[in-house]
Amino acid sequence: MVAQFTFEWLLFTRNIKNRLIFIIFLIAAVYYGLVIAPDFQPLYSFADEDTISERIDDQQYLLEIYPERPYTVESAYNIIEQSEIQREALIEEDWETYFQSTQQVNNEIHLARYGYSVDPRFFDINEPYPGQAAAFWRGYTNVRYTGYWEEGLEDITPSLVEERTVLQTIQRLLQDNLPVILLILLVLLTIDIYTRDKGHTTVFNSKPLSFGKVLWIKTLVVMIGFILILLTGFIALLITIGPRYGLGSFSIPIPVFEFTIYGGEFERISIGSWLLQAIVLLVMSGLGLVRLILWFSILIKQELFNLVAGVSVLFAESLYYSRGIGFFSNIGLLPPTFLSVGSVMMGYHNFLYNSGDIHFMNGVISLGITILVIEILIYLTTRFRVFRRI
Amino acid sequence: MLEIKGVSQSFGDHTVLDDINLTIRGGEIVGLVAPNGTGKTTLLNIVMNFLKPDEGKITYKQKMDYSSKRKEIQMRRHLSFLPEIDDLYQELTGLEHINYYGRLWQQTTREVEQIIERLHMTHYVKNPVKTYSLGMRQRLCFAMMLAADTEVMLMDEVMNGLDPDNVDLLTAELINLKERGKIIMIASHLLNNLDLYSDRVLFLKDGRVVLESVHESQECDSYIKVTVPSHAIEQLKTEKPFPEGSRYMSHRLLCIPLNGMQPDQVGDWVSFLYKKGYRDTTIGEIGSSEWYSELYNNK
Repeated sequence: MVAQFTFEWLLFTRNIKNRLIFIIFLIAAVYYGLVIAPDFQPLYSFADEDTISERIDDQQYLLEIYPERPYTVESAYNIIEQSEIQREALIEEDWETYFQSTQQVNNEIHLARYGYSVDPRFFDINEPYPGQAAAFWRGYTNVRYTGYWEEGLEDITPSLVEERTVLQTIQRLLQDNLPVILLILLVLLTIDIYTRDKGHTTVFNSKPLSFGKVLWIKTLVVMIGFILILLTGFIALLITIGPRYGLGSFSIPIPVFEFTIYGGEFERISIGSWLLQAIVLLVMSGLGLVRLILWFSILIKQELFNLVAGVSVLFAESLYYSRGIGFFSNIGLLPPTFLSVGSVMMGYHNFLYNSGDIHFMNGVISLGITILVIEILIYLTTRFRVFRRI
Repeated sequence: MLEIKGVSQSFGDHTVLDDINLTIRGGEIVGLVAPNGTGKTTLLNIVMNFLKPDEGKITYKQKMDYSSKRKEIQMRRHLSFLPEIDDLYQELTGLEHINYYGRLWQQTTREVEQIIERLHMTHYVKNPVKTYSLGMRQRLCFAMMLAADTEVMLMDEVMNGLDPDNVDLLTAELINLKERGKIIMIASHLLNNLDLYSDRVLFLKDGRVVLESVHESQECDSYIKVTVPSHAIEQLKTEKPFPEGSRYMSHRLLCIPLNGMQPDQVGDWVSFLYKKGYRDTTIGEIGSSEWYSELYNNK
């Protein structure tokens, strides 16, 4: 077993494709940390003393030039009043008051700018449900702010409020497309782990190890490579973002949307638990994907097929998901739904599907059953001698 | 003891092996000889269970066989197959290959350094395989088998691509393995070399073992051998009738058995042939290359 693992690891690490994947990912992570992450524009920036004072001055200027407009005057008075409370709270580090007044100010500014329309920052062009999207993200932000003082979080910094710390950056990336990118890399690492032995039959077929063990050793090698990529990304972000914005605390509260028949509400969990659960889902998704590609490899023995099939699985959700699918449907529990790890974890998938079922535990069950089914398929396939020979 | 029992194999209508039975004991090297495509490699593949025979079975030590996946692994712990040179992994070094085989079968790399020295591989073994010549790769494959050090070793064209020095080197290693009690099957086209270390040579034809040449130092197997053109053989026989058991092989080689012959009679025959102008007389067994010519080139 050790001999086979060592040999497989040597082959995996000497593979030029794998080396390129590792190097490109490292460069991309460093580039993201140095260039893209600092450019991140949060929905609401942290309001420091200067910003608040400037805002108060602006509103006073409006009062001076538009004294005849009642809505402007009322709005300006409200904004100035809440801004002064906000500034006072900031100076005294009374975070409860600060965030409450921040929410009030944000609401007032939104009302002044857009009235009862939707803030365009909350949705993309052609979004069919802008109102719902805006409601989700405003609720998310409000619960996040509330969480900071309710959880008694120490060291509240502008970086933390703007979600710029290392841990929050990773959380944001996982909520976005990072899981799909990581799983595509995993597919690329896996496509040739078995098929490369095609040209080495006398070495491969004569070893005193069962075929099943060899497949598991290959799985282990790929998964270790995958975890190394995750660690590399983390270290790259830690080095590039950490000194500037800090690591962030593992107890930072993260809002999680929970759907109810009457709408929905946000609960909170710590970012430590959130990331841990996200990694569990990611690793389970990865394991299922690796075993599935190995099964394809045994059956078809073609790298190109593995690539197409593997990537297709990642985008399989688009085959059955459509916005407004309705809470009566259980289709959201299909395994490809849980590949969007961060979206599942934050409850955005529940929001999209009008479902209360798309959460961590159901993800573990759905992916677990999928892995079990793949194992049964591999077992049945390798009962045929022809598939145990390369 | 390795036993091949009633093994038959066909590919379509073509019967490659037909009821092959063979028992090989420890310390025995068995050579397999036949033209290309006549079943040598197929037989080795069946012994390794790379190929399931249409009929028959392989057993080792009478209790191990390939009847289940578990038993197959048990068998494989005792058998190794000479890797083909094209099956080596280009990006790895020779040392990594040898260590792999050592660890896989013996859970150790203790002997690896000695093997490398014995096979004169020190100067290149740490380079990637893609930089090796044909002969270097062949020695590496052999070194991998030595590192595996299994009780049964199967080799297909082990001397392929080697220069004479390295052929001698591997020949000495094979003799050493035989002395250590290994069971070795070798398919080879280097027939004279095969005679140096093999105890038996099996000649396959039409799916069957048509000749089993046993190499033992017994007088009955020795002959006076001389090349005589086919047009002259009858004349020669008329002048001096050949003793019983004489052979005329491949329309060129006259073999007169030494069985029961006195030393002066041997001298008489050599003198007679010399006087007739046949001066390449030798005394010895009928070699594999001579049997090969007789069996496969005798048109």
